[in-house]
Amino acid sequence: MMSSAGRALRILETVGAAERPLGPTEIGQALGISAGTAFRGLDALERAGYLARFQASPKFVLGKSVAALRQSLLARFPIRDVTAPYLRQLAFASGETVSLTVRLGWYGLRIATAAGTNEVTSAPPLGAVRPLAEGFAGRAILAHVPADAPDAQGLARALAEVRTRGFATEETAFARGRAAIAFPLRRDGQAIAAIAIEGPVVDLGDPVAHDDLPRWREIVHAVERLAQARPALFAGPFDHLDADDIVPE
Amino acid sequence: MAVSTNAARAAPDPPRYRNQAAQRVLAVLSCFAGPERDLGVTELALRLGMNKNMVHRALATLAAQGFVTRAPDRTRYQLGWRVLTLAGDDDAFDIRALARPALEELHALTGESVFLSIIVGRARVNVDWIEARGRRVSASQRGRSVPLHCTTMSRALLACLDDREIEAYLAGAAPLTRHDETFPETAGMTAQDVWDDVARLRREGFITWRNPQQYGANYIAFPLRDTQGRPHALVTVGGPLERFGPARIAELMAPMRAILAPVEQHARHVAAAPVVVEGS
Repeated sequence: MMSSAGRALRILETVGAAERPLGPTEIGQALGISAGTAFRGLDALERAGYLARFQASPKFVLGKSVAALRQSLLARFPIRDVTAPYLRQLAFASGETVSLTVRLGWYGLRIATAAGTNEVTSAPPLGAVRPLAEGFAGRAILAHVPADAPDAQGLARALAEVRTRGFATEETAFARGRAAIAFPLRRDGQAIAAIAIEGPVVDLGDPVAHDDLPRWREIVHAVERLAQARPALFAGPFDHLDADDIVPE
Repeated sequence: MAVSTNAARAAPDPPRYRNQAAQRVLAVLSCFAGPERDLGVTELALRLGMNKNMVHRALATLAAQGFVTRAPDRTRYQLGWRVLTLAGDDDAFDIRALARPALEELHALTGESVFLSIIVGRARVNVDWIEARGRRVSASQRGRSVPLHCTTMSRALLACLDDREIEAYLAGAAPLTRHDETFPETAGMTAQDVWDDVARLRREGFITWRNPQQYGANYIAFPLRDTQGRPHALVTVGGPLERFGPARIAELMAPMRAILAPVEQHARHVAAAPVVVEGS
């Protein structure tokens, strides 16, 4: 049985993942606990500033303590600041939102973005964690890591193609036949991150034909040269952990 | 205050005594919002007035759900990845989004072309602009990189760096004439010319110049800096000399500054991205 402390953290995760404010009844249903139990957890979280009431209603959103922790952790990713101008340049050059995904064991953590100039966007939130084997940013990384990911079987051909072309693509759901593109960010031949142009910028069938591809590559290569010259600016707070020990649920 | 007392009385029995373990765990987690990279059990126990056993249990609970993880020395703890998955748009500073309304206002005020440029590596890149109609200063290629010593617009950004960085940049950029064909505006110029521009910008807080290559284009540029004086971006207004000459610029100076003031104010409170200019 879960402790009251563990339950409070589960409640925090549930509110953090929700797209709208949640009340005790909804949280109770989501976690299989009574509304009263949920309320006790909510109360502890509200007292500590982790949750706040949404417009004085009985529903909750994330509070200031969460923002403080996020800021504290994000500040330990100097790669966000050092790549920001390059992401901005690429976003403007492509017109689309550009993101930075850093490697976190066998997962990719989307840690920075530069909004594109196009109005339409369907970008996932910062902090989204996905297995490297899922998604094009993850596969751009996975193609350049020394060992095989636990769930990379069946991807050998796709990853070989990423290595040959120098990028990974993924068809965009809202523009058939068009694809988003992700470039690995390598240091000493190994991927530490990926830079993705998240809009339907290339032709899925013939991505290398895009006129701007050399320009995009040049921007990514400039970041790679910086990573090689100034490795400390590209260090992350989880570099010391073994890949197999990082197991997001 | 009477109102809050009444509210407290009306509320149901506070459940504060039933979830002390949860409160302890959250108190431990909050300690990690400080400037320290990692914290040890003894430190946490002292700070929170708990015994070490309680702190141990709290850390185990937090670690089980990824809110904290072992620090590199394997005995201390640091924040875990889970914290980032709690959605938040708390890190949305975007110089382009911030400056865009001001660019539009400057364009409406002056009727001229307006540019937003940032430093990317050793170059200036225009990341936004509004082009005037008719005879005008036209925008360069989308996202093109211009070395920081080529064109006066680039130098206006270079001038925001400190002397050591400028020296390192110029050393790496030598010979300075190697881009002369691409950027004739500053062709044949020496390091001293660059330093002169730097001194002028630092003195005046803005820079005006004429581009002899563009049939009498005239510009004024304003840097956006953080509280340390580090550059976020450069806002430039440029037009044909006969329309946007020194007299017109002087006339528009006060309203231009008024438009930029809130953007400057906002930008000051956010640290600018680091600039790495050494090497070539």
